[in-house]
Amino acid sequence: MKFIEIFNYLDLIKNLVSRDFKTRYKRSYLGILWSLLNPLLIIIVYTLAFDYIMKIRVKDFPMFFMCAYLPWSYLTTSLSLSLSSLSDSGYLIKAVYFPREILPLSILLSCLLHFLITFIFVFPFLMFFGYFPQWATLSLPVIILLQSLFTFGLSLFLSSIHVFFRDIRYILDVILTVWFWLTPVVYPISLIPDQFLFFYKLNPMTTFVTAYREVLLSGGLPAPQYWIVILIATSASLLLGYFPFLKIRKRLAEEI
Amino acid sequence: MIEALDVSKKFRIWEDRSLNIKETAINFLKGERRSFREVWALRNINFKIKEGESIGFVGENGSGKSTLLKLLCGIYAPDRGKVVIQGKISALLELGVGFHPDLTGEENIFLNGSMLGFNKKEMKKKFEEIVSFSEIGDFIYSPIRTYSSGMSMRLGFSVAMCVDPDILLIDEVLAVGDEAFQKKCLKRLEEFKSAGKTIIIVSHALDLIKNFCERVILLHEGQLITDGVAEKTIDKYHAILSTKERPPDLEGVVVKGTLYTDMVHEISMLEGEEEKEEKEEREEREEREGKEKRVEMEEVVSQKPRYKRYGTFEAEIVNIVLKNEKGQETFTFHSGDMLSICLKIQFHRDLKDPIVGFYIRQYDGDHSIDIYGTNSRWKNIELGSIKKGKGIEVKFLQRIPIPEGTYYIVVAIANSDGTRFYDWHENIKTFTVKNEDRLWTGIINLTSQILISRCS
Repeated sequence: MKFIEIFNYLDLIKNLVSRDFKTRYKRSYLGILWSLLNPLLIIIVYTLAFDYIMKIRVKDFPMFFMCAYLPWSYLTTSLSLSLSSLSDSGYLIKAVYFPREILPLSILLSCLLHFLITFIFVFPFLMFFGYFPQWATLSLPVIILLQSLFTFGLSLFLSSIHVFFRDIRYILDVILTVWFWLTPVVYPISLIPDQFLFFYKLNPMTTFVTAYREVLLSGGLPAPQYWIVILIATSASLLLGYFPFLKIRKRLAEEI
Repeated sequence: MIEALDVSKKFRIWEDRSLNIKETAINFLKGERRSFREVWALRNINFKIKEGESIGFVGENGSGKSTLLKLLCGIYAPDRGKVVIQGKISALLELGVGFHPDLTGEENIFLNGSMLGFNKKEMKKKFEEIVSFSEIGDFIYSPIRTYSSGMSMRLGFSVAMCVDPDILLIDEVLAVGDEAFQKKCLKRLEEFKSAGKTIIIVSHALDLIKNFCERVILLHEGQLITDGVAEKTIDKYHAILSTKERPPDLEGVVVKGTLYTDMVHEISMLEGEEEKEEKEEREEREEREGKEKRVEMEEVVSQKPRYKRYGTFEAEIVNIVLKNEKGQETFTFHSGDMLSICLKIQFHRDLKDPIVGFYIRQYDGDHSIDIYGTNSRWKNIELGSIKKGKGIEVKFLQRIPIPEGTYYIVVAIANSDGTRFYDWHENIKTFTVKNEDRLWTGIINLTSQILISRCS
């Protein structure tokens, strides 16, 4: 089966991830520190804007925001970076054979690595404010894995489309902005009027973000219905991604 | 083992690559798909290569060699037929695939190796060998953006040469590097061969192929023409190259000038545009007639010299034949042979003392070099007055002490002071020169005598 073939290329994936990881901040002074600094600065800005100026009534806003913003930015950087992973790699695709999904996958994994690095300050931060790891924290890797698979499906979808329609980049920018405000990242879900709540919860990122908060802030396991939504969203996204990808895979080397 | 079973491959040539979503949506609503035409790059290819064989693929640019190679290593998928591969295949279609300028030579070796399908363990074993083969030394620990282009090329080579596949596919990449390095690579290939590996080489370097491969496959316009002993197949390839009526061009274009105009120069400048129009017209016509399109693929890297013609046509060169010493028409000569260029010219107007001349020309990419040229005026031959409706025959006789290669002929007739071209045929004929004895080197045979006397 083609899906299994990818396991013969683990070294390639590893090397591509480390290439991306090593070169992303190469020749900048702070290097990998940017992965920590960038979200920290964002958290400070949003805290100032929403907590101090707009006085949104949320307990421990910085923690509240951070637990949602980090997974969110993992999603958006993965999507924007992997978008052109196929169309920009014409030189590779034309010169060697390897399973093509490796290209968006390796970018996703490199983003995942950056995401995981941010936990270096997430946990001390949380503990400083009195949120200590609980047993439920152990489910965090599962949530991260599922989010990664969910993102991978979308990356595959977008990068396949991008080969033919370069406009998708600009559409994606808009979608991500809208999506950001439709996801309870800066505000609590309780602000959403009841009559919209059903539709609001159809957004898989709402579920993901809530799950992260549940685990990191409340210290409890997300409710079963959350897991169901997450699983459905993840498989749907993988199907959505593989469908166009499998269609163009054979002709990729010619069309790029 | 490699087997191609009735393999065919077609390409889509998009008429307009840059449709955006809006246009696509409009097309979609109108029920139109983006327009493309399909071109078969390979048709019904069959062959079987056993373990340990060394095979060469030859053919002109655009004949489908590289496409075939890409099919064999899985970059392309065949539209019909099947490719069966047994064994670990390593394709060398480009050097240093995936090299990243900011990574060190060492890191790039591992990255490149994993792209070629080798894991870290295998690469670690080969690392020392690769470094010493590349002659890069301590630079291996510096980012390759600090390398000279020769160095990164050598590094790419070395990775490819030192890894250990069962089947090695090589596309033309052997042509780079200095001579010493090339020799080293060839030696390496010989070692591969004697180790019983299967090797497939695509190259225009026929000498290399002849020396290295027992069996050669000739492709022409996407079809397998011959599959057999190296010598014979290569001879057949030469025959194909030389029996073309016209130079191996993609299309010939005739630009008619207005009769009796003095604006020949302008005509030749306008040529480009008119050509395009004519080409479009012809394409439309062919579309209507449902004719097969010519294969124009990206593989055609260097556009071959085109046949061009322009002039006032007050006199026309109606026939051009290249003959050898025996007076037979031919397209292959040996260096130093007699070449006669025979022209027939028809006059449509009374003309006095026209000049007839020719060039022998060679192309290096887009760049042309006139090897030699002369005309009747320089040779002090007066043609006198020639009446409308009459014809003349002109023969240029010369030895060609020139090196191996492909040459093109330009012939022309002009008025008595050379300011107005009646008829100019560019690249009307092509011929190849062979120099198999190799008793000399350089760009011209000076037929040296060597005198030696002994002194006490």
